[in-house]
Amino acid sequence: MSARGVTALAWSFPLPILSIPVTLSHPSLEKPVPKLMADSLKIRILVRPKAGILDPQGEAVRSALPALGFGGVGTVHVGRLIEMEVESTDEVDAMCRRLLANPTIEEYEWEVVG
Amino acid sequence: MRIGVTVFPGSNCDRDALYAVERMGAEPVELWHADADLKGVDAVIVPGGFSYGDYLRPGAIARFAKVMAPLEYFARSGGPVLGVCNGFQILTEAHLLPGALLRNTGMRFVCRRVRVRVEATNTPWTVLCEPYEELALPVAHNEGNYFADPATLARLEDEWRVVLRYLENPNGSANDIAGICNEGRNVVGVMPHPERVSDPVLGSDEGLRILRSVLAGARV
Repeated sequence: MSARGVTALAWSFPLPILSIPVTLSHPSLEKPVPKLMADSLKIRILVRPKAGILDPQGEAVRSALPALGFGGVGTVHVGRLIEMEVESTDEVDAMCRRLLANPTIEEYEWEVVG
Repeated sequence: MRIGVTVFPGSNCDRDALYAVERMGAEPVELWHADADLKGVDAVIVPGGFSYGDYLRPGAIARFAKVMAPLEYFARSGGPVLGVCNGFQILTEAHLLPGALLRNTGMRFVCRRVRVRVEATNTPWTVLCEPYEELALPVAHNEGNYFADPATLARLEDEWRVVLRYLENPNGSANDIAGICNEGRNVVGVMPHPERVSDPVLGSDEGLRILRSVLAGARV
């Protein structure tokens, strides 16, 4: 649904006093984001807690799901997704090791997505 | 003695630390994150707060601030450095201290006074404490759960590098660790805030026992 469509829907709500104009203006709702750099590569980096390291965020989510009636969930781990545009992938590993992930507690993987 | 206190965008215990330095009877020196040198200070406190909004990970961005280059040089050449709370997190991110601080196991920000035991008095920041002295110090953190791999933990224990230990673990920290020091013992990181108990008007001045230690010669 386009952002304009959502706005129109909100305005067509029968009680004008409750019809708060909702404008969802996130670019992802409109169209694909054009690349800012010519000839660049789009990469997606996934950073997550190392196996065996306590993940309190994952644990909190795991225990919240049954509270909402969702059953059958075993383990949950919460990580971080980083998307970047780079000229070359030569230094992506170094970026991950030095800044984007903390190798003491996190592992990472990355892929070229566009 | 001149004691520097680093100030990053988002530091929020820097004023408390500067005040505590005055209470210690030393001269406080503000060290701005963009400073290229340490203004000739004799010791440095890296205070608590949320440097750079804790973006990415607590301390991950601050670790690359300009002032960190001279600070790392100072620390590696034996200068006394104390990291408190976010300061501890910054020092681990900068690899001046081993391990990392994970999210508290209870998933809650913990803000209360906890009892800790001084486990090592042979650091410049604890030399005035009695061995195994118990102190009540405030903690205020969301990521205070100390983690290191088993080999590093064993090494910290073998080398008596656990400086403070919780008597009541508030965050799930490994081996109840509240503070550690580096191999040279001059760099100490603690999660509790000694600067927040530096004046009887704040309820206690027990924190001064830690802070004043650095005045006692720094050589231990």
